Amino acid sequence: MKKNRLIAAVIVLSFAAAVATNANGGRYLFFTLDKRATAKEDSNVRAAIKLFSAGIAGFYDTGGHTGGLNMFPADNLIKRRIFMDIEKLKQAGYIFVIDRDKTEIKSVSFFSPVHAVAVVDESWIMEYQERDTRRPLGKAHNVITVRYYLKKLWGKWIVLEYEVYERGDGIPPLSAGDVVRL
Amino acid sequence: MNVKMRELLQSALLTKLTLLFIVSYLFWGVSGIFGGFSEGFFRLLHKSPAVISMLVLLANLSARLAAGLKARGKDAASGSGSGPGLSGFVHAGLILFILGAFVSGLTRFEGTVVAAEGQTLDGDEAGFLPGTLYKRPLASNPLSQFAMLEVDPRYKPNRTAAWFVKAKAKLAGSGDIVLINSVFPVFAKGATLFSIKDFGFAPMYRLSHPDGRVFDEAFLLFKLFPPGNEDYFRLVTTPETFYLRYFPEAPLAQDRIASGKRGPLYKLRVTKNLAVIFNGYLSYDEPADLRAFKISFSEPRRWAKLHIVRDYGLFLMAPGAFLAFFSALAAVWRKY
Repeated sequence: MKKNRLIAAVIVLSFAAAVATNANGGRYLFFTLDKRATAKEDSNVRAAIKLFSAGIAGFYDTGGHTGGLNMFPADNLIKRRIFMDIEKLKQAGYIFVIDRDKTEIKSVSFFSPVHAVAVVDESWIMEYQERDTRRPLGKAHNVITVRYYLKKLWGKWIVLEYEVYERGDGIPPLSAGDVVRL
Repeated sequence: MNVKMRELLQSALLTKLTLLFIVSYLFWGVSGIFGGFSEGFFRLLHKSPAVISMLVLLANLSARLAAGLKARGKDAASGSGSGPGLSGFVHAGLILFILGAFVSGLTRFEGTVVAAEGQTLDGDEAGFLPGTLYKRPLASNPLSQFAMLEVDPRYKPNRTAAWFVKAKAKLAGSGDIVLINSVFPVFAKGATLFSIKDFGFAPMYRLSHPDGRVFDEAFLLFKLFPPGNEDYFRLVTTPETFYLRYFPEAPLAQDRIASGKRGPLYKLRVTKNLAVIFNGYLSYDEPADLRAFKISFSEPRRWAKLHIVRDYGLFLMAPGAFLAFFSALAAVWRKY
């Protein structure tokens, strides 16, 4: 009996030592076990994705108005790419108007308490317009699946990266290590 | 040292409990429950809980071995010796393993490097490794210059996996040609082990103006194997993202029939923020017209990801583990 207790104590001690010396501590483990915390973060991630879609549409539709840029939940490189595109269109005399038709968040997966990946089916109505007259130049329906990589920074979920697939293109599998290193 | 302390240090229970601690500590770390992926055996072995428990085990095993030898000496003097005990060999093997683990912690280098066929890499051999504690030549960076000459994968019959990859690299300085493979690590440059962890294809992209003038080209070391796997790149000056898949054999591209193309194909998808502006199949060097510019991809070279380990501790750990394991096995055999 005493021997069994000693064995159990050593196993518990080794677990405590492993928690103490791991870079994540027990955060990842306890987060995945805590269903309430994951549910709360799940809704925060979904809200961030909706804000991202609304933000990107706003920037394009206004021809690059920077209002709301601080609220836009995206990494600076993403913001840079968006405004680079808008600027190129501006120089050519166009505006690219995008209107979200449908968004369906298919899945949200957590790879750590601060790393999430969401797969979203989106359909957008897109139209080129002349910048000065807003005369329509052609409309297209963009049916895509987007895989968003999000990270929680300063208490807010931020889109660090996203991959755009045409609906029906197979989405390659992910490795947890790659996501956490983002 | 008082008697109680000596008894504790020589107790078999301490050996068992310390061993249990080390094994379970390594198990928790390797299992990946703290981060979704394994921490790595050697990284865990060099962390403080493992180091402290190994020190305790080393003291315990040394004390037991010394006590055993002393007792055996007395028995031999009195003529009642019973031959060498197998437990002594187990202890000696474990001691060797622990000493090897300490040497490993001081000097181990482990790294990966990706090189495509024809690529030459320059490493800084003189620099000492930031992760090691020992700042002497034994801990210098073993990634010196080498040139990747050839990467040769041997595919499984379904062509979606390789069962063996071999590569030929030429080391700078000595000029030795090393044959590296994905199954057994090979020694090169003294105590440095080389093996192949991954391979893939490296196409060269070529960007050209609509009139055909080329303005940028470079090799991309992409993870395009197995066929259908996707990788992507961006240029600093444009908002496009280029996603690429590679089908070396036409039948593997299920929907290429729709494209009406034969032979090895690339599948290119170009997106500009959320808009897909191109999605189609391309043959080698066939340009995709993106209005502002054209992009094409040449026949790919192959790249290999080399895993390079230089660890002097392995020379003690491997025989130690071998000795401990087989002595323990023999002891169990003798008992039953």
